Amino acid sequence: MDHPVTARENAVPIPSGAAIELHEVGKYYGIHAAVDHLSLVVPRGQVYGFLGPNGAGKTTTLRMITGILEPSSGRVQVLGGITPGEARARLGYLPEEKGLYKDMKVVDMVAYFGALRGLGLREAKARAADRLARAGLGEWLGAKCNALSKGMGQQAQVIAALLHDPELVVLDEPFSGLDPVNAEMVLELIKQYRREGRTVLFSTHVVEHAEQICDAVAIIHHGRLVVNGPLEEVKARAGRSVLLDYEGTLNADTLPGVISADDAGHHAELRLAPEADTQRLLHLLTEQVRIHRFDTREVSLKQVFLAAVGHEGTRHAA
Amino acid sequence: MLRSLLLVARRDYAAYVGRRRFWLSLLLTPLLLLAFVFVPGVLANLQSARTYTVIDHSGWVWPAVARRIAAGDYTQLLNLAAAAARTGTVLPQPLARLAPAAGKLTAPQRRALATALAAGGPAPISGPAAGLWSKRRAFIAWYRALTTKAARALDRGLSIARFRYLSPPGKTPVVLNQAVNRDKLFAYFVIGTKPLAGDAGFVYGSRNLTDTALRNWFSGEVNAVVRARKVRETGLPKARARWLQVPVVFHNRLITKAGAKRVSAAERAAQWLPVGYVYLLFISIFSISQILMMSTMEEKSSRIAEVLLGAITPGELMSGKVLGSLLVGLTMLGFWVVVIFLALGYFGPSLGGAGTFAKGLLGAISPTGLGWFFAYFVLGYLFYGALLGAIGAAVSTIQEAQPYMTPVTLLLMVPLILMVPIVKNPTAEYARVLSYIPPLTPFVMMNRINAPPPLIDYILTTLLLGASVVVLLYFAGRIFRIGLLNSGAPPKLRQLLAWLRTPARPGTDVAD
Repeated sequence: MDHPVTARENAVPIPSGAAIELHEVGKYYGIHAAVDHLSLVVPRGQVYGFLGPNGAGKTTTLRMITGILEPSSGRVQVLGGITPGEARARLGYLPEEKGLYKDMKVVDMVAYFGALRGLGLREAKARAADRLARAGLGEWLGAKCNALSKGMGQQAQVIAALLHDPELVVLDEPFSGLDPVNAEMVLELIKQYRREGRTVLFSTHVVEHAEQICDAVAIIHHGRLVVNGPLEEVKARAGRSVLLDYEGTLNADTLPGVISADDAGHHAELRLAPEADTQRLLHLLTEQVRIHRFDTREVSLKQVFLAAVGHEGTRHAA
Repeated sequence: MLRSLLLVARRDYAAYVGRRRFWLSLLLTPLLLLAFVFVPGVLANLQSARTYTVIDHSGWVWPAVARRIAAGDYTQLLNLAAAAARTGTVLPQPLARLAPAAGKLTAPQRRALATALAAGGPAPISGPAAGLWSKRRAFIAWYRALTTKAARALDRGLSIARFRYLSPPGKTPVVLNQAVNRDKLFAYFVIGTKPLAGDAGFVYGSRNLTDTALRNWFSGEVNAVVRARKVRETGLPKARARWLQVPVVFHNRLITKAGAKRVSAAERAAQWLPVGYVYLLFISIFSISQILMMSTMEEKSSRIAEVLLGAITPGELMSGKVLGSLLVGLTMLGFWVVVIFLALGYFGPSLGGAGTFAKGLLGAISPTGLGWFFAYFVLGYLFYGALLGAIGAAVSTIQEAQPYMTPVTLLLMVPLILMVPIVKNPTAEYARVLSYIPPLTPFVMMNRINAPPPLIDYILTTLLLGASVVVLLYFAGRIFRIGLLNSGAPPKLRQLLAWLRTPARPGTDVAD
């Protein structure tokens, strides 16, 4: 998306204090713990990926961070120690399932959401018209929302959610249901926010997206934090892996030093134990298959994710 | 808080009043109400005059009845002419020429002149009546040539505006029946040979026995003639006979705190004002409560609610929506009041009795009554709006809402069922008791307004209703807060009750 203002113009001075601080946060529905004793600190100015399989508690956590839900226990603070309720005007939230007022004009709807986040009505309308035009929706300003195509509707929703240029942007599955063009638009937007010094926290199933743009990641499983830290650190902690292109029948799980294998047939990623001997492994592999590529490198985020959430993750990690 | 609330209210208000179908439905509703008042009159105007014939075996009844009918119409026409002389109303000729002289006669004089005109004499000796008598031929010829339409335009009370005598097509029942079956006649009357002895041989024949207007009117005329003959045959002096026949009439007096007063036709119509109030309350409260429910449901089902809740609190959202719908309701009522006033002002005078009725209704509207009406409208809307708004938040489709809406709709039907009984007996004990039941309070209190309830009733019922509204809004807020984010199957009643028990404090939601 062609954003109206340059990163330098719109850069946010980074004040002290974390963008998000969760202290022993829990959310319980009867005996079910959607989120359990979750502590997390997201520094300002970072793009933070929030990963986890379905039902892990991602949406519940994001809703608590944005003040839509109150935690059952613990404390949520944002933007240097204030409550989400106090930070509403400085916080942007795009939920996974996005809706439009079908009978409302596109520009009015976008401006309405901006005004609800604290923009003056006139300013919100001017800004909405400008951003919609820059996103290629200039001809649709006066059209009813139900006249927009799905892709255009998604663009309008993203613009509406972030019209007030929030310091902290929370996106729940922002790529879900988007076509590649709009997914690219959101990716670009996140990158731009990073350049501007804003903080972005987003949940996703698409591990590759997280790996592509995140400074840090947190993975939760059954409501508990299982992995957290800067992306490179997380991957480094997980050890090394081998990327393998091969022909034949691979039985990697039995090989010494291999913790897990993500085998797609003719191509596999083998996650290695710290003490693994790669020379010996190569030798043993040549006894099983004909090797075209043997590449030692740090593990992928997908491997980290799979390792963290076990078999449940295989259904969700793209 | 207030800014967000007003933004939501503004959006919801604009979303409804900006729609063309909203204004169309607004126009249709008063038109429907006006149709209830005016359609019977319009239909009566469209209906052709009932044609009839008379077979008189007595030989004397029908000529006397015909004279009596003509005398009645002549009296009305002379009265019309006299009134025109005073007011300057334009009348067709030759009636217009009679107006100055008719204006100089008293009502009994006009009646006597009409009787003489119908009977062919005796001629008045002097004065304006004598002048009129000289123009009798032109007048009678004009009367006989009057079409039904022209007669109705003059005065719908004229007998020829409603009923038309036709010469008998024959004297046998077979011929008469054929004429009726072929729609040559609406009905025929057979007068027996000895009317003074009883009703043997008297027949009214028609294919339509449900429309009794012609039968009742003609029976009245015949009975008057036969009764007069009976009196004459007893040898009683005319004055004595008239005295004997004068009925006793109870004159209506409306008792108010200011005392007793005579009631005009308009004031009698005003007695039905509470029905209008209750209808308007019912339609407006039900409509805008549904608007609130539908818009809440739309925001929930289209997933806009979560975006909104990311920006504002559930309390701000609900309050804004309630206020927005309330403003829609006030616009609706204001529009209706203006349209009804304008329509009655414009069309009322040409609608005869219906116009008088409507004028009476409007004339009875007092600032106090209107004040209470709007107060009860607001409170009633908040009561039912809280219920339907909560339902809208709990479900995602109208089908899911149906089971919850049914009891609310039934509750709203109660005031409609009670409307007429209470307006006829506004001081009944049951009416007073019902006005203390909060969901019925707005309707029953407005229903009782003709015999104004004591001040203590106004105070206590309003306090009770106000307290109920507060409690309902509080619980509706709980359902709103939880329901809007609840996806999947609609909640069961047990689950809804659990939501109600969930206090509005952090972290205790029972659903995600």
